Amino acid sequence: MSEGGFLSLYLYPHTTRRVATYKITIRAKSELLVGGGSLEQATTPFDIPAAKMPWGDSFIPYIPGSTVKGFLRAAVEEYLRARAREENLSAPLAEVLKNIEGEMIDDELVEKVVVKLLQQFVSSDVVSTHEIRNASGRTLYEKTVKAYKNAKVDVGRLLEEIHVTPYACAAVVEGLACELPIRPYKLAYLRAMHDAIRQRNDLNHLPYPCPVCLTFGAAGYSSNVVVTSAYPRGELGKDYFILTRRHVAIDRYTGAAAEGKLFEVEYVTAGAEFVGYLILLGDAQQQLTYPELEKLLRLQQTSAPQSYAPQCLITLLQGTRSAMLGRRKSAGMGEVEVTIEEIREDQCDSYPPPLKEICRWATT
Amino acid sequence: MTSVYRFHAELTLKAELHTKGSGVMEQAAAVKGNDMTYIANAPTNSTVCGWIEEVQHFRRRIEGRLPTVSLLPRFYSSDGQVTIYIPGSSIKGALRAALDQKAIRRAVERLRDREAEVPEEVASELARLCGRGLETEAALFIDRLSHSALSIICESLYALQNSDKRHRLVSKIAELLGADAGELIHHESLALGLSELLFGTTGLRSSIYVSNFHLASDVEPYAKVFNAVAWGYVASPFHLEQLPHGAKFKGVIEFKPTPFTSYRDFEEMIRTLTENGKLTLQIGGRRKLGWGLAELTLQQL
Repeated sequence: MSEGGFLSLYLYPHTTRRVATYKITIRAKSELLVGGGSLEQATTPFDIPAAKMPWGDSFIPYIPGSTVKGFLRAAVEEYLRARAREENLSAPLAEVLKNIEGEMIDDELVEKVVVKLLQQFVSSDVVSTHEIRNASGRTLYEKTVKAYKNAKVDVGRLLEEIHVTPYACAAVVEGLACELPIRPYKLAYLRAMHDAIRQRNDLNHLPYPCPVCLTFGAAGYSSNVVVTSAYPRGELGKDYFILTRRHVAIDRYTGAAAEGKLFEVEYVTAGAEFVGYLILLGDAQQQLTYPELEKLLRLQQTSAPQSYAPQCLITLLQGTRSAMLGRRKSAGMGEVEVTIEEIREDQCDSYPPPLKEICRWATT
Repeated sequence: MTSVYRFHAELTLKAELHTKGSGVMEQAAAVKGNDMTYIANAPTNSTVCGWIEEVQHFRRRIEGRLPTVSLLPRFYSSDGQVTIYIPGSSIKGALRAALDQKAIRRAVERLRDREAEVPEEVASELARLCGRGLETEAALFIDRLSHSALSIICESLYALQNSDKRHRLVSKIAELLGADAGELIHHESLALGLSELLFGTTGLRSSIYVSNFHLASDVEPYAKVFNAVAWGYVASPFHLEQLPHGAKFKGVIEFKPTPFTSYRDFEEMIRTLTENGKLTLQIGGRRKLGWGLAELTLQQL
């Protein structure tokens, strides 16, 4: 960790040393539809097939490791964003942009922080980087609002509603996401974020990268967790089933079935249990204490080692029980119960393949 | 793990209900005669085979020659249990449809005693964004509660990143109607109605999560025969499985705020849909005959 200035780097040297192994059990409480890719599209007649893996002369449903990892990462991000807001450790992007002025406003900063973010809401051809830089106003906020106002779009409220925090970066916007090495334009943004948060909280240094990127990886920094795909326990057709359901979209204007909107989805039945593994890499002995992280995670009462940030995040995830996973989760599907337990060994031989093989690899 | 507003929800039928299921048993019940080859290639004594046998037994009870029956949706568990339920998608769709209907009713009120035609500039803008041949008059039926009338004819306009185009278009419509833009837009920056904001649009996730609703009362479904008669043709009877008035379903509804929605928005939806202290929805088929009327009650957890 380097001290001095406004930024503190929290980096662990990359290692493949295992700190702990966790077993992730995902039990479907309602129909589970983790969508498949082109292989499944090509091999099933359904519009939305479930993810399946060829196994022997058949297929078995599974939850890809990328889905499990994304699910865990999203859960941590969501929690940290909400907690950071409660503890005044985040600030509206509007306030951050108000702290950027003069020579700090360069093309790369405007393009990657402002334009890329607002492109999610406003057509990309409405305002250019050049127009923002040349708009009247002292701060980047004033210039942005003015440039969009010239195009008859008010983005002021949006910039107020979007909060940023050093504890969970906005990974989908390049300029707001953690990245190593830190590019010069990003230093200006980070300094402005630090100043904005300092108005609400006496946070001395801005930690970087955010604990989520430190754990799950970022551009230029490798993940400290390995997450395997999750495979079903039991036998298809006996312990769980793959069934289909037909849906029709209703035309919201006429109230009748919309033309051409009939679609069939494939799902795994409620009660199916999937098992995967998470291997935590690093060195748990490293004493890097993220400022305020313990408070954000509310981990004081637990006995887990608190210094290794990725382990703190996994401990938080161990408190997750009910969650939503896969597709159509706002409409009844994808309700799951998740259990994450630290293990030293597992009953690998009692599992069917390919879970048996994954289990042996993870617990070796 | 974050602030989620959870509600126990109970749906009580105020009329008979039929909604068509499409699972294994439902398909087996719709097969003419006894030809199950399309449904399952399951070995005998398997769970799936058991489900199909149960359906055949049900069909035989109605009449000996295995009539086709449109069954209510079934929820299949991995342990072989089968229960009647209403998919969360149906309830969510009914909630959204109710909000959309309110919006259209308000728009009709606004248009009363007024001759409004979609001006050329709005029509040409719509044509430019979504292609020609659109029923552009639908654009007049938007309201701050919902833009369904417009989003259905111009889906791409309701991708989140097109807020500038939506704003421009809706401002022109407001001008034409002599209305304030706030009457037609719920979220100013995103230029969306309440329905799009709460239930999602391309690029914006839904804030409302509706679980499946499972049958929670001791009522038995029954099959009833109906006759479709077309003049000059032989009457063709069909069987529907129904649930009677009074049947109760239970589920959970969650409101999970996005950066752009707050609990106030959810409250506004509930307030808007509640009339005389009751939130009434209509679910399933034959709604024009009054079927599927149901009262939804919510209790915060």
